[in-house]
Parts: sequence; C-alpha cells; structure tokens
Amino acid sequence: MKTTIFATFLALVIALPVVSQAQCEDSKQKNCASAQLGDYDYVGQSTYKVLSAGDVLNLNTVFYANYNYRVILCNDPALNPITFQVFEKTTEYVNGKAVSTEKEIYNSSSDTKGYFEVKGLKTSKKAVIRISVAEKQSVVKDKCTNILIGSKYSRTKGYKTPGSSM
Amino acid sequence: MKYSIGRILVITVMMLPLMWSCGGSGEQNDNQGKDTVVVNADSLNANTGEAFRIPPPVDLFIFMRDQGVAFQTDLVNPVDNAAKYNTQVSKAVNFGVYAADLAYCAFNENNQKTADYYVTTKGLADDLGISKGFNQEVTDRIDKNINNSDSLYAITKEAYWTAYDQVEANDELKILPFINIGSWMESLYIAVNSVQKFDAKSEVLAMIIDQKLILETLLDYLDNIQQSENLKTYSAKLIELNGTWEPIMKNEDVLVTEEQFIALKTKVNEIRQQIIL
Repeated sequence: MKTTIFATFLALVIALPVVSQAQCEDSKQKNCASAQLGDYDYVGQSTYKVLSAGDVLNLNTVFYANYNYRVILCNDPALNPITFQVFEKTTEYVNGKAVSTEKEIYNSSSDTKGYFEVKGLKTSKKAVIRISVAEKQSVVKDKCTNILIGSKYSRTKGYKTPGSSM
Repeated sequence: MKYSIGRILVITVMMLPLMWSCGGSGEQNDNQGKDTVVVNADSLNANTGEAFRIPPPVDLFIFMRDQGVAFQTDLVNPVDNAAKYNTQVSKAVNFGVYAADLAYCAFNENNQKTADYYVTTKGLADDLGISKGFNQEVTDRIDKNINNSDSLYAITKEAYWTAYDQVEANDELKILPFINIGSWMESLYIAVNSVQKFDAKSEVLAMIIDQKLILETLLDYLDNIQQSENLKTYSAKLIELNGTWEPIMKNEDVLVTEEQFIALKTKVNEIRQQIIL
C-alpha cells in the first residue's frame, strides 16, 4: 500500500511539469506581438519551455551562414521581468576535452526592439540563447515561454522556395 | 525543465517544497559584460536548465538547391527498409531519417516520392505513438494536394514538427535523441553524397564542413542527458565522426583536402548504413 501511494505521488510529481509543457504547446505565439514576427519561418527551431521565477534556461542552437535569423521571446507576463541574451559560442578541443567560450552579442535589457536579429553571417555560428527569470517575492511557477527562432534564406539564385511567395 | 529528468527525479522528490523558490540567477550577472567568458558547467546554478534545438534538415537542402546541387532520388532510404525496423530505437532513429528524406523530396517538389515518404514516416510515427502530426486529417490534406508542391511541402513540414513538438512536450527522452540523430545524419549523408566533383572552394563544401557545429551541439545535448545503453552506442558513433572532423578543423590554408573529405564521407556513409540497417 505504501509503495502504491509513493508510486502515485512520484508519478504525479513527475507528471506536473509534463502537463504544463503540453499546455505550452497549445499556446504557441499566444504571448507574441504579431508585428514583431516579420516574414521569418518559425517552424523548426522554435521551442517552448515551462519556466518559474529564478530559472535560467540556456537554449543551444546553430545559426547557419547565408540565413537571416530573428529570435523573439514570448512569455507569460507573470514571469516579467525576464531577460534574454544571445551568446556566440566557440568550442575548442584541448587534449580531447571540449572547452567552450561565450561572447555576448545581444542583451534584451539594453534593447528597445524586443528581438534579436542577425543577418548575412559569413560562416555558421553556435549560439546560446540565455533566458533569465528574475527572483520574485510571490510564487510564480510553471509559466509558458516561447522561444521563437525565425529563419529566412538570405540568398537566392532566382528559384522559388515552395510555400513562399518569393 | 525538460532536459533535467535526473534533476527532477532527485531534487523534486527530496526538495519539492523548495524547488521553485530557491536558487539565484547569479550566472546571468556574471555574464552580462561583453567580454568572452569560459563556460564551466559546474558553475551553473541549480535552477539552470539546458535545451538544444538544431536547424531543421530542410535548411541545408534549401542552400544546396540554391547552389545548383541536383536532387538525387537514389540517396533517400528506400521505403521498403521500414519493414526492418522492429525495435523502438530503430523505429525512432529511422523516423528521423525518413523525416529528413520527406523534407528532401517535398522541398525538391517530387510529389510522388513525397507521398510515399509521408506514408512511411507516418507508419513509424504511429508505431512510436507520436501520430499527432500524421493523423487522418493531415493524410487527407496530402491526398487532396498531391499535385500541389507548395502545399505538400508546407503540410509535410508542419506534420513533422507537430510530431516532434509532441515528443518534446511529453518528455520522451527515450526517443527524441534518436530522432535528432537520425534526421541530422540523413541530411549530412545526402549532402556529402551530393558532391559530384571535389572543389575545396565550393560553398556547398563549406556548408558541409560547418555541420561540425551541429555535431558539437548534438554531442553537448547527449552529454546533458542520461544515456541508455542504446544511446551510448549512437553517441560513440558521433564521437568517432567528430574525430574524423578534427584534422579538418586544424587546416590553415585550405578548408578541406580531398583526402579529408573522402575520409569524412566514408565515415558518414558507414554510420548511416549502420542506422538504416
């Protein structure tokens, strides 16, 4: 009996964030200002997470050369103030061990546009999008945060991309 | 957070009342300057989570087509192979393979192949219980738009990412890493085998060499999750592949030599063959 109760408790505890994550899936772009989206394609690299006060999330990704990118953070207002930074990440292998360095290239706290944009990269880059939710006096937990990564091919030799109006 | 199953299991049970209120975000303050900082995973605080999202395979195919690389139907994994995949791991990794093939066919406007690969990918999705993106409504839309390349591309892309989001939302770490490995390996396989004539200054080659960054991100991702024995096997293959890439990264005067490219292509083909069985 005790085992059953413990197993049920454990299942509930584990299921809690899972349910919230699934709920986030249904609220995609709900907290986004559509005017900020532009003509980027957000299918593929965008994702959503459940965050709480005090959380920090590092989203590791790659920006390809010859693509333009726009990164927008759309979060439940209850999480504010929330900041996001973008770092260029480089990794070197020293004696077979990976050593990474990061250089900040964007910080939302010193920006008025509300999104990060990079255009015309000559070479592909690894990037870390760091989202930091401030600590709060009141309890704020399990709120949806959409990290939209929009991409757009920046070069064409005259062909039409299926599904686009180019 | 999603990629912290180990932490959820251990910390949640032991420290549930504290979990959402403790910790600080000192890491953010440490990195606000513009200087380069060395990242030390041990310094990340308890509330820090890691997530990973690599560009979709089609972004590579878009670039290749723009560079005049021809679509080759013989590069995709034959649909008949699907019958061989009897384990959850082989189904998951080849769901990723077929999803990349589906994107390749759809983007290159081969409607019949797109329909065939949709059916095959859907079959594996059904077996894996991730059929949200591949339901009857989507199948009907495919049938209705069989002669419309634009629509097929959009529908199949949406189908795959809906299924992917479903896996991610449900914390299916048992299959998500295999899907990621399969889809990326297949796109890399198609790319390296699309190079008809070696040219060290080719932009396609540069894009292929840039795939090292995706590989590094995938390896970071795998390092960050608890790996099953099956996943360790795949992880070892990617580490081997990384080893093949290392000499290329040390080149100074040339992006890649023909010998290095052949070695890379051979390793990619070997791993891909092991994946598709």
